[in-house]
Amino acid sequence: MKKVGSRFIQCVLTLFVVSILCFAMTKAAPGDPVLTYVEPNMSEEYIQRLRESLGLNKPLVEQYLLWLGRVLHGNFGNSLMNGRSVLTQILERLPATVILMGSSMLLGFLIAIVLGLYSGKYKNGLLDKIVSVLCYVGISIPTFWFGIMAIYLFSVHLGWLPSYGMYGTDTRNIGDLMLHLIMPCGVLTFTNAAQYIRYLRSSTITALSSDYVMVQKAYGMSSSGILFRHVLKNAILPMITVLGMSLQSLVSGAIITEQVFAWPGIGQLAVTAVTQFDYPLIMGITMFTAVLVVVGNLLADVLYAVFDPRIRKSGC
Amino acid sequence: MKTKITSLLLAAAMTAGLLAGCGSATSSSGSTAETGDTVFQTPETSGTKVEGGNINIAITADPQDINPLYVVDQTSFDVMQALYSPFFEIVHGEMYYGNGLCENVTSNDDATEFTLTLKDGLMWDDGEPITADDVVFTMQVLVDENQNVPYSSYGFIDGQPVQAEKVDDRTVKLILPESSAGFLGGLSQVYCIPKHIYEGVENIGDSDLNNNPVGCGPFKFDEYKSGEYIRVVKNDKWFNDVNLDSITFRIIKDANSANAALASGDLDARLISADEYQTVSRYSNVNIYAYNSGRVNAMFLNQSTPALQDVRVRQAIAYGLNKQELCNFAFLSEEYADPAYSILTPDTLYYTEPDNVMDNDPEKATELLTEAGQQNLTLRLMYVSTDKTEESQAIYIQSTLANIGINIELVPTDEATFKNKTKDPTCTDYDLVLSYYTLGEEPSLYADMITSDSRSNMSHVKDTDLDALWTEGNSTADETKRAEIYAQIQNTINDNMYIYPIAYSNGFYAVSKNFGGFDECLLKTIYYDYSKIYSVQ
Repeated sequence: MKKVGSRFIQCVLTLFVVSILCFAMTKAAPGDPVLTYVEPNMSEEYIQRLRESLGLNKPLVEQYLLWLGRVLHGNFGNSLMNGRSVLTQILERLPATVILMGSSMLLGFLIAIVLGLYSGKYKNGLLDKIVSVLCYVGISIPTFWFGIMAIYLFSVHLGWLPSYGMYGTDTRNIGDLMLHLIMPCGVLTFTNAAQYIRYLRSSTITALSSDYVMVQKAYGMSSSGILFRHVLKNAILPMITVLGMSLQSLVSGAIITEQVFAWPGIGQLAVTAVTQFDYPLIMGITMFTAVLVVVGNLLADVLYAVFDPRIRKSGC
Repeated sequence: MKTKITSLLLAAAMTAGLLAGCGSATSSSGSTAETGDTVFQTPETSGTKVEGGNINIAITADPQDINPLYVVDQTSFDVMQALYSPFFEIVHGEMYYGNGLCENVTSNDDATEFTLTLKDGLMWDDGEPITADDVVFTMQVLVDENQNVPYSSYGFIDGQPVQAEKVDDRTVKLILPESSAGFLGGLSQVYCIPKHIYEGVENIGDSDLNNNPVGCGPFKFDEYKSGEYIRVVKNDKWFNDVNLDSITFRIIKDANSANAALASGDLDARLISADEYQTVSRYSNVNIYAYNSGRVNAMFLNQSTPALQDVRVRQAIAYGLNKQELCNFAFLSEEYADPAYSILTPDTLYYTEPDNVMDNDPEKATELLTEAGQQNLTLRLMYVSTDKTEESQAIYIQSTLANIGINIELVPTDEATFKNKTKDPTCTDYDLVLSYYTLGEEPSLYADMITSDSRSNMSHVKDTDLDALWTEGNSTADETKRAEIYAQIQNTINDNMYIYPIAYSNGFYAVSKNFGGFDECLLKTIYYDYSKIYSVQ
């Protein structure tokens, strides 16, 4: 209990430091956000009034404290771009990103378990070689190129799948969502699975050479039983770290994939916020992501303890 | 009397899309029987016109604010035009009331009073009547400092607000503090907002009422999904016929994805750039409408740079370049852009080619540089890194100016930083900068690009004589005198090479063959009458 409390305080401190760093970095970036909105024939008086109304004429420390005060009351402020609530905009985009990232991470994870284990077991065999080649392709292929090629194949030439968006014009049902999800999710799953498989293959090979596997073999346990009951439990440990670190992408999204498939997620919102110098929105998205990173790490630690009794006993 | 008034209006009021401004996207112009014809390529549409249907039009970002008084970005402007009708348009130098709320605008002889008469039976899309009270309210909001309207300058003449008076339910008199020949140019940018919705609202620009707008255009607001689309549906209360049932503005940021969607038929229309023309023209399901975009592509010579304070160096740069070659190189084909020699577009009132054209004379350029003592000059040329046309211009300029001994360092910059630097009147991070602007047909609107202390004055020119000429041009009602003033302005800018105009580039709208009417929809530059689009069976 004491350790949990200590970790919680660490998390809060981490988020506080992240908020200061993020605020300082966005403010240190060259440029005046107000000038991003200036067009010919706008009067200087309007520009100055705009700066005042956005609070950008106040000292930096005061701006930060005002922001922090609002956040502690659950108010992330309003976007400079459109004046809408930052929290509302993030929450509007959150489901799309969670659906895309969640489904691709889950699918990638499941595929990785099967292919990673068998690649490790049949090291240098035909299956391993094919999977390895696919993994290298998945890791090295640029997502935007892969996405565009998929669109040209499945939408333009074959006409099987919609080329962009989360829903069609008139339909907003689960079937339409699934149809729109196939391509972006497929692209992300391919790249995610490629990375996960490499981790799992490597740890499977290590686990298979362990003494306990020899013992299980000696006891006459089936090879698939050894693989899924004993090897998987050990081989999956590095994956927990990887997944924990990936949890933030549930919020931050896959920027390029969202852009290519016009998927209305947080990734696109983040890009727009950065290109428009929209500080409140940048801060909001960053803090959301930071919370997920911190929580992800915490979860990874807990899961480590669940899967690895040595850690539980050592109390690390 | 009426003929005289009309003549005065026509002379005084030619204008167009101020709103686009520097660095903003694109434009279009169209051909109608009433308004003249600048479209040089209008494809044939086969099939039969049918009523109804939905068109998916690509936009590149979420609209920021579609209250017409607060629109500053191109996306919002594109969408806003479906929801609101202007008072009137000025198309190719003529008053155009086709999609406007006014049936008539008249003026007194010295252009200090303008009378707007609304069409009969106008209604907001919620069923309330549109009356003179709405017009007066709009003009009051426009000049109300507390409301902080971005383009409030349209309601001021030399710092004094224009007064609006209701004459009767359909007539409003606008009283100017002094004569302004360019006033109607600004007024054509102002769109009426409903008094019954916004009266008493302290901060209209930030009001949540803008999220569910009540408009007076051919379509009315239906639904907005952040990051996905904004849909508008036919407004049955509009004063003219509307062909389509709805328009869905789909948000697609990536150009390659948008083109793929166009090819697959998931998207029906989008603006394309010159470098996309070849790709999109191969799509069998798409027509491309080409039009005079009203855009001027130009290079600004920053006079905060000591070397560029010498007029001989600026002239040498102009002489060192071959403009036709530059256009061909950057815009890929002679059909896509014409070389520009004035900062005004050819369809702007009082446009004239300068007397002394400086072009393609490397010997003269070298001579001028030698005179100025600048044999080994290095200059930084800034442009938006994602703009392929500007990148091509920069590469050509770099290689060509090397021939006269000027070393050009390319400074590709992201768009936000670019805007920040070019809107800072003290910025010294660039010596030359490539940009573009779309300011329309009223010459006084171009003043902001080169008036001392203006944020759009990317050349950082401080020329009080030129400033005085701009002021005089705007306040002079006499047509002949105005023409002389603007000719003098164009010659002054050219002789001093404050701005190096590069090209008048064309715009392209790629449209599915399932839709027609775009030639009538594209009124001019960035102005649309969406009611004209129809489905084709």
